[in-house]
Amino acid sequence: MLLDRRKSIGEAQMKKTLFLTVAVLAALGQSLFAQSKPTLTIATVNNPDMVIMQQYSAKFTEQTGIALNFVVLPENELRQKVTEDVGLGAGKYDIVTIGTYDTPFWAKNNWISSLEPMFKDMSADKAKAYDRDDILPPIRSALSMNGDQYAIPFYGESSMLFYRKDLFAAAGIKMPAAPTWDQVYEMAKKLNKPSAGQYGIALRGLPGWGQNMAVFDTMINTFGARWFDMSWNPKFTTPEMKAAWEFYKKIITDAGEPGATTAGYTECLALMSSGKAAMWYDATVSAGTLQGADSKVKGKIGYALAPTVKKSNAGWLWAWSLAIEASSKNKDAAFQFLTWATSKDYIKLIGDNVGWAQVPPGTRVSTYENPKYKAAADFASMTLSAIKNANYDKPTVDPVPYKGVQYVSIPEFQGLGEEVAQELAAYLSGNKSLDDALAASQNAALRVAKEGGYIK
Amino acid sequence: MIFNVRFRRRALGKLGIVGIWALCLAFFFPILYMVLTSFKHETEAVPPQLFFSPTLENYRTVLGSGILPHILNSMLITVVTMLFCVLLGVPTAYSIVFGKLKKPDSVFFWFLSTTLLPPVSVIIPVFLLFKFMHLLDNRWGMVLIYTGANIPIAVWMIRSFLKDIPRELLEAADIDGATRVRSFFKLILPLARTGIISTALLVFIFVWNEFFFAVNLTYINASTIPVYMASYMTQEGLFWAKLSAISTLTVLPPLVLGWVSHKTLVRGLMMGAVKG
Amino acid sequence: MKALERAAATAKANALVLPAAIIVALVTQVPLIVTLVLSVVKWIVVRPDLGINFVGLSNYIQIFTTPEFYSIVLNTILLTLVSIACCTILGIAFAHMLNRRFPGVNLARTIMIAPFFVMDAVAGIIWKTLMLHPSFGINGLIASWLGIAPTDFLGKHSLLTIILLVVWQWTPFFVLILLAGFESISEELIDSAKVDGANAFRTLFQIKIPAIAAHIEVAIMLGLIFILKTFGLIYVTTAGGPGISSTNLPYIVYRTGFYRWDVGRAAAMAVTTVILTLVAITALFGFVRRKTNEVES
Repeated sequence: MLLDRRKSIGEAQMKKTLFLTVAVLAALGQSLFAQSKPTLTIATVNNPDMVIMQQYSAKFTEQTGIALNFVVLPENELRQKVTEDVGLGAGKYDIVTIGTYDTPFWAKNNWISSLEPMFKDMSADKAKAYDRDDILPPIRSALSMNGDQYAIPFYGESSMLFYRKDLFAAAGIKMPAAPTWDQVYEMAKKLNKPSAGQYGIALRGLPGWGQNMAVFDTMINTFGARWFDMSWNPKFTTPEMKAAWEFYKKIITDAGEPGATTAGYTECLALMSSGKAAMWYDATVSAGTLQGADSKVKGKIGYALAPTVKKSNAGWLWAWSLAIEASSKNKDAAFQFLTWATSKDYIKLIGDNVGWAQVPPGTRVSTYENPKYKAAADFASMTLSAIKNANYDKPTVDPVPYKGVQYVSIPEFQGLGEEVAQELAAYLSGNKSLDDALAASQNAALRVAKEGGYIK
Repeated sequence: MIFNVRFRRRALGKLGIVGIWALCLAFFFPILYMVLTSFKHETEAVPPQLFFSPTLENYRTVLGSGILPHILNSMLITVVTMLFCVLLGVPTAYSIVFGKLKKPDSVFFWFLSTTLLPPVSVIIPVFLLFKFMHLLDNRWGMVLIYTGANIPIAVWMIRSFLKDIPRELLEAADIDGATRVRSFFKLILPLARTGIISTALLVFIFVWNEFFFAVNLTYINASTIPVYMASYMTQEGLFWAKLSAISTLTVLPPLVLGWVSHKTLVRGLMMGAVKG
Repeated sequence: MKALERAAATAKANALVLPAAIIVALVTQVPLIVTLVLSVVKWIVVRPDLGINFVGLSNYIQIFTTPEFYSIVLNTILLTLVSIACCTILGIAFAHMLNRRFPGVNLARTIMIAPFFVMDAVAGIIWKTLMLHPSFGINGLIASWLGIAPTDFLGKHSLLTIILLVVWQWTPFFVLILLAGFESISEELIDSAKVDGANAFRTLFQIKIPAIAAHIEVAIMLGLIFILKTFGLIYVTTAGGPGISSTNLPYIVYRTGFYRWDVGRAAAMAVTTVILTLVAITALFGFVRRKTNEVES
């Protein structure tokens, strides 16, 4: 009996040791396993293309074993969260989605890592398949600092004029390929029938540096005005600037949607896609939605270049891009995701599974050479020429010390653009006179130039 | 003559009921419209249409993309905060009303003054503090901040319900030889029960719907429903039907709780618990 | 012995306050101190190259020498006082109406309180687009029935519209509290008034409202504190505009902190907000307390 007991104790001890060994091995194996398969935290915007990316990211995890956690927010909240994360030193994101506006000063602040070392480390095959030179040059240079690329574009856009071919035909008006704002005004007035629920043109009036200011800034540029001169003196009181402000109000009042100061991108999209507007000047990506399956105006939309006055090529340049936070501990894995989401294969994946009109636009030359894309997206060639011709480096008639078409590429523009956007809204809604609004804008710009150390 | 008076009173009564209902419905209309919109196709959502073909596609979309962790986080954080607020608020309010604090009104006022700071003002300091304490994107961090923000409200409301209890009842219990603890559990608590329940409901609503701290202090792990909703509050595409759907779903738990606890409140009050 | 026991009991009773006080202090006072510290530095998050520098009171001086600040303070005062007044009147009216038995009273009460359960950002979007939008909302529909041009509520009457939204959202809160008050009025009081020959009108104003004076006080004070902090509604509807016509103190703090990323200036504004609201609350607290005591006696 005693022997039996000792035997059973021995057995128990052996079982315990075995169990412990297996547990330790499993834990080790788990940690080893975990080390080679990190989880990436990605912050991105809730635009349709990104939502699709989130849905298809499972394919990436399948291929590489790298898991992804998505934080999806609207543009304003996203920008605030990611800026908080890097600016206040939390550093919890691996990949951030930022725009052409943010990339230059994020790079300067060392908030994101240069991608050059990672591109260099790519194997020859991978680099050839990825084909970095396929990325549209104006966008690639907008995302680089001193020649080093800091972010990869996920989708790119410019701005163009959408119009209802059927309404134009019925009224006997022809849209020129490169219209001027005066021509657009005349056409809008002719097609403006508010009692029948049809407005001549939809233009953003919602205050916001990325809302009404984005559209209006291209007008400022093409009217020959500018935010600052080469010595960073604000230029809000010039005749050209006044003319631009007056024109914007005139066209909206005479031929635009009512309640313009509550009309942002989505409201204008709703107006256009429900058939209530004859024209709409806005982002090129809207074409995809307007040609979508449940759009009431599918097949009826024509395209023209951004209207001009004194300066041609007025369309803006923007790309939502993926970058790697400098504090990320998983940069290699993050780079893998970046190159996956911006690869030709990804575009093909979306084209085959979602639809060719829904692939991320405005990033690669090869997309625009793809016959399937050209067949599905009748807006392709106009979009491509708008992006290629956008004057990111020299947006204005007179020289300026800043870059950017629909914004001024200084970090303070988030605040300055917001203030001026509110002044514009106050003027549009009749709450402020033009002179007061311009004076307030001038003061705001002067304050920024001084406090930011731009004016020496 | 008596006949006429009775008839007139009844007619006025019926008209009055219709009137009251009309007013309540008018007040409620925006929410009703929101619920209706949640069943419309996105392209039919906006210019108001009376006739539409109902669809569940919005609900399918919003329930689809990973809403479950948000719901669980919201439930956990909200319920725990609510419990903490009650468990900490009741003793505090008791002490202020029945205790022997030197300056009960000052203590009470201090609690109140802590609620004057809008979340917006204090978010960056809180972010920095939480970063320092490693509480970012942490459920217990969220419970901590929500509890701290809502205890003062709980204290105020429970205090006013405790004050309603007539002193004579307590003095009678004291004379009968009851200890403080006993009179608390047997006498005060039942009388203030409905007040405590409505306070708990109030805290529930505040935490359930809290948006600003939730968006800024959470990332993945502690993300609540308002953060999930944020991605439907504006989009580069039509979103109103989807927003209505997620919002209808989010409004349901507080609404159901309000409905349920409202009956308790009415029952309690009808038993003549608090006499004027 | 008795004295010692009593002292011990007192200490125990006082200690009950501690746990809550500690948590509240941690969560509110510590950030407040950090805010105070931040208010005397210049720190622009998006310009780390400019560093974080001590600047003394210059943030405060800048605030008080900007004329817009005073408009914003005025907006805040207007928004708060008008909303509270409307909420109180509507709250008493609705609570009085709902303080009776009729078919479906519970349902009526629940739907009356429902607006309070909706997140304020969502409520703002619902009102902005589904209700008040000139093209997409009920506003446009009604305007077309009446044959007039739709009113641009949020563009031309921004502050008034925000007040409307705030009143819509907070009246249920007032109704909740005041209804509880009405329900707790004893039957004898009402009956004795009827016996004295008072009609419904007089009963309401001279008996019932004074009887719930304490409840009205609670509702007004709590409502005041919350409405002063209004932010979500403004954020999603007008973004404080057009211009600064609907900007209140919390919103300008947000704009300064999250668009200009001027943390120091935002902190100074936050401290100013706290001081102003403390002054306002103390004054109102005293005023309401005096009125309540008058009425109750």
